Amino acid sequence: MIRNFFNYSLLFLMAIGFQPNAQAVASDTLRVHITVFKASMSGTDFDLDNDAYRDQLIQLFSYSSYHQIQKLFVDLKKSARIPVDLMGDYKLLLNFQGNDQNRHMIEALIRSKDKNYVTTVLAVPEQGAVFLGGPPYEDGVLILALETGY
Amino acid sequence: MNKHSGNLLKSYFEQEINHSDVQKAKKAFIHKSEKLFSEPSLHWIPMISVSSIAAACLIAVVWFYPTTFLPQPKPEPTVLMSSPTVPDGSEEVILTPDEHAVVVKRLTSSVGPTMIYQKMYQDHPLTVIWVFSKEVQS
Repeated sequence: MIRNFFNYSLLFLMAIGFQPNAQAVASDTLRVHITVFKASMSGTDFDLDNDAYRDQLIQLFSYSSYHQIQKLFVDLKKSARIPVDLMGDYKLLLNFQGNDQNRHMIEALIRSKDKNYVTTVLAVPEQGAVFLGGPPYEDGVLILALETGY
Repeated sequence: MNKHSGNLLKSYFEQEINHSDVQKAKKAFIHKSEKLFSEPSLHWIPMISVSSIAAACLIAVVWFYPTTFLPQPKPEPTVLMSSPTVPDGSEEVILTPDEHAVVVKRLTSSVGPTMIYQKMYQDHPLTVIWVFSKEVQS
């Protein structure tokens, strides 16, 4: 009886230890999906690959037109800064800083020529999304959607 | 002789009947008899029945009720989002209690003030970082 109890307890602990999420959080690499939109007040067009973005953009922002202009993903390695070229002389720099309390620590930096447009450090859960926006581009602004775990 | 006298009598009566005084009296009598049975001045009152009055009242109620008695819809209150604004070039740590939300640990900008806010989308919190640039991209 006691032996069976220990056996089942051992199996239970092994199952917890081999959960995919726990393994993923402890990983040294992280895939980040980046989608770049141009939002403007000229026109009412929605040019998006994924219709799910439409509802999110409408709920979050008040522009009348959205165009998806870039979609890519990058595999970040711990403590390695990865540059991503954006539209209009902007550059996105991502740095995976490791994990802290089941969250991925990501430093995101948007640079325009010699200026740091924005620098932020994000604690992203296993499945999370953040919208980063405001850089002027043509007759509107750029909005970046950074997503992990999708 | 008799025939001749009969014709004279007939012509006499015809003249008497067609006399102007007799015709005037005849016309006056007929006109007087018409006046005896003149219609009452409010003869149209029975035409307005109770049902027509009720219909008029119903139309009046339907016409005025929506504008005067119906409760007017109240405008929805503006939802104020939590939006801590960080001054230009400054740094602030923002803690978000939701375990599924992206937490912004640090945020700085050299082009203008920044703002952070979150909104729920299908039970998932979405975090937005916005930079208000003072410069316009050329």
